[in-house]
Amino acid sequence: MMTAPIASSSLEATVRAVSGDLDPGDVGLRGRLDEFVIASVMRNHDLRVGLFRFAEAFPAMEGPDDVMAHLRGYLGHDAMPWWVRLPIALAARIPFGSRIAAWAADRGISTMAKNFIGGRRAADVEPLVRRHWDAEVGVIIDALGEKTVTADQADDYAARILDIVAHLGRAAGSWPASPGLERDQLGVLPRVAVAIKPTGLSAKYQPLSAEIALADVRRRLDPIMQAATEHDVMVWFDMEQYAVKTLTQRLFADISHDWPNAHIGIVVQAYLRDSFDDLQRIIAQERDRRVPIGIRLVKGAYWDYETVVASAHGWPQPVYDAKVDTDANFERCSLLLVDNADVVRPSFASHNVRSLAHALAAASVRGLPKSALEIQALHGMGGDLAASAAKAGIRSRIYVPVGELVPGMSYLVRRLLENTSNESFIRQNRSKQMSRDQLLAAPRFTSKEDAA
Amino acid sequence: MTAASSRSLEAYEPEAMRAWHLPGVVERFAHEVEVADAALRGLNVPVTIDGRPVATEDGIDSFDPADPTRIVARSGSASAAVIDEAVAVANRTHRLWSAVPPAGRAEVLFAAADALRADRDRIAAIEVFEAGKPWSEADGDLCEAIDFLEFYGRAIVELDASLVVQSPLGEANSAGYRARGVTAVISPWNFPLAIPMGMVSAAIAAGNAVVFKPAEQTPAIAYEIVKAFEAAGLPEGVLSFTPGRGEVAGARLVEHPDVATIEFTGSRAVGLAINQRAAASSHSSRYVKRVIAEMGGKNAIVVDSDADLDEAVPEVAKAAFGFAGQKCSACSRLIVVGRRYDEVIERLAAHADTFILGHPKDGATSVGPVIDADAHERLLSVIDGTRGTVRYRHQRLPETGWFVPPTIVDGLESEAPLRRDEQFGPLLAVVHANDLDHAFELANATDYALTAGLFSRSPDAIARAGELQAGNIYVNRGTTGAVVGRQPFGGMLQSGTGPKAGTLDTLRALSSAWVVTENTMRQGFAADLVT
Ligand SMILES: Cc1cc2nc3c(=O)[nH]c(=O)nc-3n(C[C@H](O)[C@H](O)[C@H](O)COP(=O)(O)OP(=O)(O)OC[C@H]3O[C@@H](n4cnc5c(N)ncnc54)[C@H](O)[C@@H]3O)c2cc1C
Repeated sequence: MMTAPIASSSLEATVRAVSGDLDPGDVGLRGRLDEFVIASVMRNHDLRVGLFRFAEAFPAMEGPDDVMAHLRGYLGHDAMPWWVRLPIALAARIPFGSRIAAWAADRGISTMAKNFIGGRRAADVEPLVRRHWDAEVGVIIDALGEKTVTADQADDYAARILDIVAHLGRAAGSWPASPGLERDQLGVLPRVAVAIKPTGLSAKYQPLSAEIALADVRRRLDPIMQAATEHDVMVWFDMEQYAVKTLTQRLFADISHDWPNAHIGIVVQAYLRDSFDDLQRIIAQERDRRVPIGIRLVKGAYWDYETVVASAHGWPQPVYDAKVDTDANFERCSLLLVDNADVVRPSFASHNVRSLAHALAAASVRGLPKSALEIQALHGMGGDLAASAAKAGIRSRIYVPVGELVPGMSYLVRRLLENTSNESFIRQNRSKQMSRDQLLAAPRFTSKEDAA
Repeated sequence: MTAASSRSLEAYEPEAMRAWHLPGVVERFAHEVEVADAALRGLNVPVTIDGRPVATEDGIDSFDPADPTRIVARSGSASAAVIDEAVAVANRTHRLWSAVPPAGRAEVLFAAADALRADRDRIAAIEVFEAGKPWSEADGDLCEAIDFLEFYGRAIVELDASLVVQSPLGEANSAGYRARGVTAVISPWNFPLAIPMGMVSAAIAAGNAVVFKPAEQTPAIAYEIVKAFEAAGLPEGVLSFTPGRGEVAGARLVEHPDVATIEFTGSRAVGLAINQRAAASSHSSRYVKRVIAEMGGKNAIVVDSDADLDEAVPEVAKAAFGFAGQKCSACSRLIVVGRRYDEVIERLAAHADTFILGHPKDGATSVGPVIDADAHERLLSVIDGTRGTVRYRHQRLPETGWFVPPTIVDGLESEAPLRRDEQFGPLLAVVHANDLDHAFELANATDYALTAGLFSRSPDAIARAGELQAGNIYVNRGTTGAVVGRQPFGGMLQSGTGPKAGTLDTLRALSSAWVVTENTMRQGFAADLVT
């Protein structure tokens, strides 16, 4: 569709006004001690690496002595600040020291995990989900999984999603009505949503075995789609590494076609240089679907990984090099989504107040009803944000991972990276070193080509 | 193509492998495979000497190991007399070729790299049929061949400068390297392009003339090396191509008095025999023959108790079963530390069970056949004859073709063939270790020392990785897939003589160093001091 561009002056004024509705709160890890730790972790690169590596390996350690040995190896050496090094040295010397250290490590990591993970099983998160619902915040439940390298793991992942669908689908029936969450300008919306990581559904999920992979995934996905249809649950297809992006887009197109009445959504990662083109194509493909699809715009969670993989292989970088380009592209994609809100259901998943306010402002300038958009945030990072948005009448959902600590580790590490990255909005907002103007400044592409 | 300044070793970058996830890449390769499938039958691969095909009485057929009814190529088979002719030509041309300055020789290598690049998918498609390589493996072999050309081309230009000599007052010293003479290259079928290209290109870069005898199983791919150098304008006679039988052509090459250097990659038994024969035949030669041999490995990966199994399992499986275990760098022993022993085996088995065994012409194939009927029969009898416990044996094998099931065995005595001998197939022996000391002891309990791996998240364990006895040690990744310029490759002990492939050392081994010292004082008059 051809629409006149939005004048940037009126848009920016609206961004400012709308941003008042969004309160990022005390996002991320809580408490004064945590703030001290995070500030130190950001200053000291070795400490950051040591802590993350220790935490990441923790679930595999065998008993207190093993924990102690890892602590010494990762955090007990000279490059560490004294307040990290000394307690470890002390613990190594006193009786029961390693037990105490192991206990403390366990406490620390479990607390952190609880912060980001909603619970172990579907049943555990029911109260949390219900609390959100009562505060007019919807949920998307994600089943954390080990990397799927076997058929059993794929079966298990599918079974856990089925369990979530059945459990919450059933429970949702008894919830009180919440009109803002159950309708948008295009029609009714399911109360509950699940997220699916397609790589979890087949050990063969790679482009060289595309046909086999898709068949393998479908064997496990179709029962999920069936259950989701029966229980009226929306299914989101999360986007993962670039190497499987095309495969997941194909899978989504197949599902969209084969399950025409299902509520489904796909993710577009704005850090990808080809994401704007993808978004245009997806909109064109799906615009006539009877049940309009959801499109979740994110920046993308695998920036380090993509950068390393492409550079090691000598491949063109699929992601932008500069954060500001990702931000600018996010906004370009937001405008496209806003302009197509009559045929798809845009949602914006971010903890960046500027990015979200921009999308909301664009919708407002275009005269769209509030219900046309949705914002999404992560459990443990965007709770306050979602709640404040909900209060302002903006439909919001919280993405809640469910599962055990071991398989949850890679998810946790991604969140830790976000909480401690200098580039991250959450971090910049929390560190209070930037003015509100700076935080809300419009991002500009670094090169003219992209801006075109 | 590339500017001269970028042609330094420092600016060297390996060739990018095909990114199958990018638009059109799979389709393009699929097309080349289809073309090869339709056309690749009975390709004529002649003995080539002095740029001319030479008719031979005998011939050797190569087969598609996934469908042995297909004869991929019919190559000539060099007799001892044909070898003599090739060596004579090489003996004549090497003087002319070594007179070309290093930069000029480098240009030829770069041009050969361009020739391969231009034809990359076509040649890789031949590998799919003649070597039974799955797509990624075939593509990887092409990249590595290009890498050797780009690497040695740069390295030869920098070689002389690496020989540092000082000149005090009154004395002018200069030094450099010159070619040794005729180099015999005897190559295997498992990296049918990259390994011989590495050996041939290093020898040619260093100014030698080469007589190249490829493996009997993969002459058509080897012939692409000759074609690439021809396209690159290498003077005729610098590279002769003599496919033939090991016992005939190979044996004569090794014993020929005018052969100065023998580059060999293959089994330990043949490598040791070549070493012995080369030494013995040096008595009737002007040369003390030098043998550069890369032999096998009985490579171990240690999985520590705290390893990340999400990473370890797929990486070990790829190292053990990728290209049906037919890499000298392949992992054939897995040593698991601690309580998760059974968990590791079970997950590894379940992962191997997701592999797709099939004709490599199908892009989805993850494991193809083994190279020939002999290997097939031998490997199956090793599995059937093992006294250990077969913990896993893949069951979905294609009906035709030389397929061997990926197999995991434990409960083996330390002297069991699966723990001691290189099998060169998709067979993995697993051993339990109580702790890391024990694991390293087990890993090092072999005469081979090629590659080794360690999966661990313990800083102490990682710091000890160097205690593993191997030329190439990998931490938290699989043991295969060395990249030229990043992992100079080669082993110690019975795994080879050294030097490592992809180093200046290899060029030195193919050269002789010279030093000229001139006394610059005449009648008490020192040229250096005249101002
Ligand atoms: C509900 C929800 C669902 C999500 N689902 C997915 C999903 O399916 N797939 C997925 O990949 N991610 C997903 N994400 C994660 C998301 O992609 C971001 O990682 C995360 O939200 C941080 O982005 P931000 O806008 O909140 O923060 P910001 O701080 O504004 O942005 C951080 C992001 O900028 C990008 N970035 C950082 N440095 C650079 C650089 N040097 N150059 C270019 N770009 C850079 C990265 O994408 C990084 O995550 C989801 C997030 C939410 C809230």
